[in-house]
Amino acid sequence: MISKYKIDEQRPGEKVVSHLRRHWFIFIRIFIAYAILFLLPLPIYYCLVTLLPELLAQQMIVAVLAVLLFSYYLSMLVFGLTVWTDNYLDGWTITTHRIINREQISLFNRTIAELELRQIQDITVEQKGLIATLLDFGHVYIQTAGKMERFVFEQVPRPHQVARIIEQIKDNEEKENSNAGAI
Amino acid sequence: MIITLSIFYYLFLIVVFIFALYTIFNFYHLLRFGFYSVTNIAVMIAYLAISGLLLYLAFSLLMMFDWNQPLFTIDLGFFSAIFKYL
Repeated sequence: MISKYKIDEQRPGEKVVSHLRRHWFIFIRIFIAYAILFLLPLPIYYCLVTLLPELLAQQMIVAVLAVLLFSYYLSMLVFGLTVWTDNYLDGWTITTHRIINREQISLFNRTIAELELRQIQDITVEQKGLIATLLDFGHVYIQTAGKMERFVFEQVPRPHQVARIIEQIKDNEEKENSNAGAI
Repeated sequence: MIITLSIFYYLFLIVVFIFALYTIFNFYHLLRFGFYSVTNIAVMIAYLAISGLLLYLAFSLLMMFDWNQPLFTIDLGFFSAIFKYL
């Protein structure tokens, strides 16, 4: 597991400023979707009991239905965990020197990219929709001069504050570099 | 040849195997790349508890059925008659 206070190949004097992950609402949304899917067999069962009661009197049919029901629940559970893994393992770390972008695309498909703060050219914040505005989460786009043109912090909480923090750290680093150059 | 209801039981065992396999894959990712946080550990424990309960319920319920009931019969005589003429 990754520690919140240490990162791989930490440079001398480098400090972790913030670890960002998607807003909690994104996880709640996934949970609600799967809770609805978990309850879905109940109305189907109700329909079978009321419309086709003779069907449930046959042991063979009940056995097949039980297999289908438990297969459905096991599939839902493991799909739910996969969606959780996919979203939870997307993370962004801001340090005093760089930004680390960890993205879980699917199982066994993961990318890690780094961006030096001095490479940043522009930061844009995007908040779309009523819920994102009310709960204060959104995307932070970081335009760079490097190969990877744009870094995206997806659905992170307090995106305006995140943009301000990055700009502040970048300014501090530039000041330190110019002071070191003057000496 | 009599095909029994057990064919559905074996299909369920395949589902359980795939479920176990994907659970291992997900846990590997969560343990290796996840943050050392209460949320991550709580989700893994809750998942294990729910899966354990679900598997226990499934197997205790499925044990109550007679899986040797005949589902249908395949007439192999038809195939042997075809091979006889070939």
